[in-house]
Amino acid sequence: MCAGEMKIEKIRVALTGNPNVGKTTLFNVITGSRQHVGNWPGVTVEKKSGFKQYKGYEIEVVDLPGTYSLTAYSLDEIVARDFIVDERPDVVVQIVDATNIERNLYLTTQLMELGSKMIIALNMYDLAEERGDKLHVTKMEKILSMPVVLTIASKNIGMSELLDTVITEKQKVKHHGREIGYGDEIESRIIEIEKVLSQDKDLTSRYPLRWLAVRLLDGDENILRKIAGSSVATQIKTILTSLDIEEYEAMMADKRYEVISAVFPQMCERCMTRMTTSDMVDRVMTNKYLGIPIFLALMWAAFELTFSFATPFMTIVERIFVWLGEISAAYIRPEWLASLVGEGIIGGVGSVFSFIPNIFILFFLLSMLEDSGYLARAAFIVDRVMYKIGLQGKSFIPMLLGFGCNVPAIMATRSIEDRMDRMATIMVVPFISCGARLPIYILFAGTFFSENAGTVIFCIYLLGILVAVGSAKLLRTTALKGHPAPFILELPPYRIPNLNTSIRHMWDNGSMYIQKAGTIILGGSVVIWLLAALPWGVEYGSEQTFIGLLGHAIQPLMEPLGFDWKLSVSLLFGFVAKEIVVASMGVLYGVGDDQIALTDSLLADPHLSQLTALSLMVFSLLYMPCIAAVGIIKKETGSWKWTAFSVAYGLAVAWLLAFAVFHGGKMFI
Amino acid sequence: MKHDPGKLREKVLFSVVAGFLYVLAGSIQFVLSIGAMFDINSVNSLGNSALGFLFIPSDFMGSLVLVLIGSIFFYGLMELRNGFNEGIAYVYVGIIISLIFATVYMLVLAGNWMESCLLNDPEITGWSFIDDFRPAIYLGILSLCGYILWKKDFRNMNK
Repeated sequence: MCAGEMKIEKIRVALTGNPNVGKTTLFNVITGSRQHVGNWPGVTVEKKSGFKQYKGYEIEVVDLPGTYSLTAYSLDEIVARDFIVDERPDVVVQIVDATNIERNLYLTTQLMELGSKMIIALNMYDLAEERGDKLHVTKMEKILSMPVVLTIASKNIGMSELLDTVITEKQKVKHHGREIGYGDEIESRIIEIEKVLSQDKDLTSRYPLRWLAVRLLDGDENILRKIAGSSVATQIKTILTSLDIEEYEAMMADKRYEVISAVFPQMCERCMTRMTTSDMVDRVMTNKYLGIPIFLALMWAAFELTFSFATPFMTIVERIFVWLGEISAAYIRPEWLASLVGEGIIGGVGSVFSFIPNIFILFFLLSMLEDSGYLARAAFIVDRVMYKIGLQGKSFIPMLLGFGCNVPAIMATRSIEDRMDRMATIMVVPFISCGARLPIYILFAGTFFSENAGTVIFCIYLLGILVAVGSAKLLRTTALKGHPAPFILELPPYRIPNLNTSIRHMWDNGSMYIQKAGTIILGGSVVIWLLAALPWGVEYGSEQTFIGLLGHAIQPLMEPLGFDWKLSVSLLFGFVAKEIVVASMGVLYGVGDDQIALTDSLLADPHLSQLTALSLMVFSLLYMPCIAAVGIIKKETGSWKWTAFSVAYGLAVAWLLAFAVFHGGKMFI
Repeated sequence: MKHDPGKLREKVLFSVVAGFLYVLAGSIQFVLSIGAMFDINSVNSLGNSALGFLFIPSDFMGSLVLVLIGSIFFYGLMELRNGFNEGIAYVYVGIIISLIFATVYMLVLAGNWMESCLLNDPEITGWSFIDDFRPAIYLGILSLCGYILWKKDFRNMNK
């Protein structure tokens, strides 16, 4: 370090709060990150950190998953709580929705017990003021004994004030917090437990003892596990078994609500809940009879546009790659290298790239629906149906995320508290059609059902949801038996989707496919080209090549579904990534990325028909999504057995349904 | 919730007209799509001749969407007639959804125009503007008028 250079002081800040209060938006604004922000609860399931250099400080901001309380019933709640308790950030910022202060205060009462330095960021205060609420910030600071900063994260308002307050709080030597008084009976128990806990020096140094005692009386199993190895564990257990913990838990929650209802009117005037325009619109959107048809109609519109509106853009991309292919054929020598570059690399990568406009348009439309707040309603509408079949509506949120990519969707199941619900959801998410499968549908629906391609694609997506829901029912009545936990979802207010946000979401989700085209698909295309070109001397892509031999080896398994060796081998490569299915078609039919030529070749292939196309789309929809999805299933279930089950079950369902479509369809087509 | 009775009457009337037109167009489209699906000559010729001026295609899913929009207006009408002023929300949502679908069909039309006229795609030669001119587009004009007329009312419908 140079002489005179000042050492940068570090401050670690944890952002916490109820779901959907704008934590991630605030995190992105402060750190300049681009984490996904969703207009529904449960988008953040892992903690994420970012840095900000501010007034000579390096501020590390950690975005924690949203939680209504610190009772730690679900994984995301545990992640949030453990971070605050174990990592001890310098300052905890609770983001409070200014339009819903009363409900947010429950978490505040629990955070106060942790003894951390706290700041309240009263976010979206403009919305509260717009509806006529009067916020008494100074009074709030006095009552809670902590600073309160007004912020509008989406408009970058109040950020400097918040960071200044963070620095001030960090510098404070002494911290005076408020605590909830639980009444004589509970307080005497708290003191008794604290006394026992204080005998363990390790516990004393790691946790605030009063908080530990309160959590234990609240029946917190996670805390019980934390003290299991302590020398005082037996004593604590004896005390707890002598008490009716459920009653204590209820009494303590009552006390917290009592305190909240006493202090809340002093903090805010006219903050009563009134029916808003959003509520009125919800009367229609969540209507018992109209809700599901409206949802289906909007999804159909999204797929219709994905197919029809994207076509000219697809043609443009395709023509660029055809031109590149022609250039490589004309200028590259020797011939085999021209074939590798033209038919293998440009053909394979180009055939996937042609579908990028469709993928981007679908993601754009889905993010518009999400940003508007509609997708949260979709989860609510579907909950009625899902509860009846044994899953809770919360499972539908990961499923909706699955339309983008199954990997984050499986991770999003962490917000599901009930283990059985979570496992069932993980098992069925792979049936939800991700963006990588879209090129297959566009190619086959466009070729064999050109007039109704949008509707056919919509039906395939719908089939994915139906199979997921049906499988959940099956699992919840057999291997994962039990009743689904009740689902409480806070519906965010409707917002006019912001074009920039929607474009950013579209890019965040869609750019993954561009990256894949340049990596996995490129590698896969070269492998497929090699297999289609070797051994030397035989006709490229013919039955005598390695790929032909491989195709013939697995064909007996796939023949009942109407697939010849080319389709079979393409599906086999789809295990790595689904886009490779289309890339290998281009290589196997020897047309590279020329979609018109590929369409003509598919139509001219005597083995292919509308039924084969349907059967192939159904199989592609339902069999294992990709290697990455299998990896994440293993990680999230922590079990090879469940992972193997997921792959085998997917394959079996795919095979059976494709078989039913191919043979059953003969009665109609 | 108090609403100006005159304006309320306007919305009731609008719901009747819009609901009727959407359900009618949707029903005709449904019959035509069934005719095309099962190749019923009499139905197909009806679509090509007598009803040609309505630009109603044989689009099954589209027909269901039109009926759905009409049903939203009728549902609102039912609530308004029963004295539930929240029924206005149905008129509002009906208008918004019909505008969404008008936009969707206009984008489809724009996509096909680009494909045919700008890119000269041989696959859709002979395409004309009329091919993609759907009832959802011209009925959307009615909804647009409703939206412009009652924009303020809808924003304050909870007051």
